[in-house]
Amino acid sequence: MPSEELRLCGLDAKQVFGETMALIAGRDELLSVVVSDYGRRLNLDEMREILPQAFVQVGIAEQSQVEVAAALANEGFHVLAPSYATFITSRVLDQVRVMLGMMESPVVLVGLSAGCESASLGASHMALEDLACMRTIPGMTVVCPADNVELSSILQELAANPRPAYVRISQYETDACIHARGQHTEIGKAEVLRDTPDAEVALLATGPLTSEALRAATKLTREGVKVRVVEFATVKPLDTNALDALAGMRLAVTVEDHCINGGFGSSVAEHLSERDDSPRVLRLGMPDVYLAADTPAKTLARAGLDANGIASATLARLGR
Amino acid sequence: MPVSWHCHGSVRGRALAATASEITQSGRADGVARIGAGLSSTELALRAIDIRRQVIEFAHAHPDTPFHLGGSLSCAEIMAVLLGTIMHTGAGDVPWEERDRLVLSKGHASLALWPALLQAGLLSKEDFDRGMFGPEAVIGKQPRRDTSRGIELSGGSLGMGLGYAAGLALAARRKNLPSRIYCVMGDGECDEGSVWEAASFAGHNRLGSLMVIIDANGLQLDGPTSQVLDSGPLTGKFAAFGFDVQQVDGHDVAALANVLTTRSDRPLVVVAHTVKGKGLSFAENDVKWHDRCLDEDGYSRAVAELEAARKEVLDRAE
Repeated sequence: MPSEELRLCGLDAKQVFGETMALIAGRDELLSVVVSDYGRRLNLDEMREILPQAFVQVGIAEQSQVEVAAALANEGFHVLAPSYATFITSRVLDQVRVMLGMMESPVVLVGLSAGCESASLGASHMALEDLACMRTIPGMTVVCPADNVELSSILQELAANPRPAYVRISQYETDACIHARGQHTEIGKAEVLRDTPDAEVALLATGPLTSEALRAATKLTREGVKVRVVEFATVKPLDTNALDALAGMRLAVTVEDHCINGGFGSSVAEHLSERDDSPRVLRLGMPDVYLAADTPAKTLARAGLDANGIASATLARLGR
Repeated sequence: MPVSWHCHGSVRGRALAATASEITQSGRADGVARIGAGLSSTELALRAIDIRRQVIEFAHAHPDTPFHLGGSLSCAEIMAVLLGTIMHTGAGDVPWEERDRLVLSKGHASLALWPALLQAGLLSKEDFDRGMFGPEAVIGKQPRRDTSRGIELSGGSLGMGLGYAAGLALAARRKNLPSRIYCVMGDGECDEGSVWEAASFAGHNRLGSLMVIIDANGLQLDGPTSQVLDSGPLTGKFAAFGFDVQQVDGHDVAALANVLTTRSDRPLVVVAHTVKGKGLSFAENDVKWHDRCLDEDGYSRAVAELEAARKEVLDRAE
């Protein structure tokens, strides 16, 4: 009998979203999930049985989705608004600016199939700019869970204490379980997943590629590199203490399934560049182009974002 | 900032069904119909003139700043009626949670919102005295959400108010509140596709507490709406989305008040036909006055014309 954590990690993230909403619905009658024709795949039936009024359907209309969600949130409901990551961020960027940014409406936007999870559908469905869009909105909390345990826990935390937020969900394997013992860092705090005394290289990862970073760390350790792996589930506000703790190290490598520009790596580089004792920074991410349709695995490998790619890019940068 | 303001107090009432019939019986803006708990259509017409006067005072106080005068002047009666007699703003004896909400989607008309909120007791003279710019300002060229002062929406980006208002109506339904949601939009604003996403949502969900007033002044920044992007018959469009639809003379306070007392299980859209720049002969129906600085000569003429309009209303009432 696997633990609840292992069971969760064996599921599709969308199933976990639905289960979590049902869980919240049982104890929070203020829950509201505003969907834009993407409710069925989120397994919301159980939530709808428990709390039918929590389900709000706006049709394929993300502008309306954000506006309606903001109004519900400002009237006291605990609101999540899920949709394809690219449509709930870049498509409605001005709605997000006004409703979540300027008006500070405590809506939790949830981006599904982010990164290149939907790479087979082509560039239109790959959300590779969403972090860049969301993290430039003042006051936004931006979270990229690395596995389903963390996803469920973060959704529950944000539903209980709503704020303007974006939760980015991407999943490339259904057995990733970094938080098998149920622990997860609180929002805004990075978590050191692996450390070595006198570590010279830090792999800083966000989202599901944290698993690849851990595998890359194993490879690098075999090569004699002393590695620390830090997971930044929260991209904004950035845990700058965890970055300052890298002082004196040789190299910080950022890993994300987002465009190399404007996302997590940029955010890290912005902070480290302002300190004298920072390690050099190597940003690994998706290239600054619109990519051809392919499987997620091939797309990630081509971008050098599998464990081999991360390890070899790190070694190359170290001159080994 | 010079504030020339004639506040008529914050008289409001809930007995709107009775007043509606009174208005109907006494005919259209005849100057004597009593609306709400004590406000006559004469008083509402005077409030609209006071709103116009304050609009030009704002412009006069900032002679180098182009203000959206045309679209503020066109909706003076709409604001006067909504905040003067139709809405239960929460400033009186209506529990705050049960207040009606006003969503000014065409935030560019904020100059008309501020005096109407002052009339309703939701803004204070002190709020005005804090100026229109900088971090201390409460009022400005665009509203910033501040529900304690009756400002529900941060304005400036067009086409977002109807969706937000629909969400407020949905929230009121779920909370079982008697609140009504009033959304003021421009006809040019209806170019925005988000308006129609929201209209579809409101109609589909039969949000009967939602009342939309379109300040149909026929002009937008680039010219007549009929030439920029002909919106065609807005009435037919909203009807197709499941709205009840009414058309009124948007400068007729009694007609506005009357139509806004109707109740239905569908959302209502009132296409209020108005004149952009209304009240200033030199600005009426002139696209140049969409946003423009008001010079001293224009200010003097405006003051004289508004005083004449005030006298005319009073003469009619006698």
